[in-house]
Amino acid sequence: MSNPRTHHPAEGSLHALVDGELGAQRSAIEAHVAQCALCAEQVRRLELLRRTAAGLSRELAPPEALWESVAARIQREAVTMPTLPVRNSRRARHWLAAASVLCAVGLVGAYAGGRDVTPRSGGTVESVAAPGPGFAPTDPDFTARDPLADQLQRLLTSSSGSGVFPGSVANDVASNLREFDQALERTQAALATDPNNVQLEAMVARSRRHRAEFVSSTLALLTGY
Amino acid sequence: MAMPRSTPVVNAPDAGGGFSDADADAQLVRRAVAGDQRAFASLYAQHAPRVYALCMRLCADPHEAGEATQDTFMRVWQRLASFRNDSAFGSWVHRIAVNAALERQRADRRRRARVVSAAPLTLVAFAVTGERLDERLDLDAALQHLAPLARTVFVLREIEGYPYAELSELLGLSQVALRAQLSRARATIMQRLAKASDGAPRENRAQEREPDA
Repeated sequence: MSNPRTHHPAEGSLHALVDGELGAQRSAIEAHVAQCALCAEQVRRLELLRRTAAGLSRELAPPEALWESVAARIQREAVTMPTLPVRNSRRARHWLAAASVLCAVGLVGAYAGGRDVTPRSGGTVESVAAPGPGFAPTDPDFTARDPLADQLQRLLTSSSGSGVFPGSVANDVASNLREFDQALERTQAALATDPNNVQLEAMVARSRRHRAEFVSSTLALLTGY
Repeated sequence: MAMPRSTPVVNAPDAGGGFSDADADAQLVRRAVAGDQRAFASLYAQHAPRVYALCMRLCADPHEAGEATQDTFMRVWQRLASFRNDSAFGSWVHRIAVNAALERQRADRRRRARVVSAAPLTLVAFAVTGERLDERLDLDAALQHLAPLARTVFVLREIEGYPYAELSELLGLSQVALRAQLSRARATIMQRLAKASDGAPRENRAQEREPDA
């Protein structure tokens, strides 16, 4: 134990004193500080630094362009869909399997709630609107850009006429995808007019999920060839 | 809709997020998950200033801070569906931001030399009204001259109010090591502040007779 009048405590002890972390040593060190101008000044400076740091502003407005970069990155990466590994299996898939997936699409009708809205052509990637004035992108749904749907689209487009699988399958997939998109649009339109409707929100989320599941399972089946 | 300017304010040291009402955030999150990009834009508007300030201090570089802020909101977007309303949204975002900034720090360290002081504009942006304005400006300037780890510990502990236990887990350091970094940071800062304001070392003043506490 240091003689409070002649021996200064270690630097770390003064920090610990200021931080309230001293245990048994506290009274001895406080006694020293009370007698010692040098250490008292150090404690004063440490306390001032603590107070100043704690009082700093913790907000700073970012440059306006930052939001545009964030929105652009989200649009590019379209991260709502999980990535699907391309299957290596060469085992022939029965069209029954494909057909059963397409039949399940009949459930799409159940999601066609809300108002009738003239649908845009579905199944294609929406062109991304340039951000309007201010920081909010004008594209109402920048998650429409979807790498798996792109992949499916390309697969269907490239294979039509090449005989990899029947053209009727391409047509069926495309029309089912359109139905999903239309249902989703209708629900989103309804939500836009009634934004606090929790059921509609849940329906939109479900619609997206089911669309995503349809795309990924179709892709899995088709790339099995 | 223009980006709302946030006014710098003095915050009590806590770990909470900004000024957002918890319920308002929860509703915005729900809508953003459902694909409402305007809801996500609102979340960004509310929380980006906090994130950007944190990244500026941790990265000590405006470009890196911008990149870290973008990384943060990308991940917020990606993980939005997994956010549970049991914690404050702002705290959740803050944690993501800390990790994003630290990653940038690690990558940055390999690329460039010692930090350079930022343009004076940055310091003005951090200024707060009230007494002892100079010290606040000087403190942010002094931070940039710290080694990255010392700066990180100082920023997270003294400015952002993280407890040692959480820092220990976050940075993978013992509390003893954290205290050592903090002491080092404080010593460096006080040295710089003393030189900046007096033009002469503070030791001279300390030798004057001070009244007993």
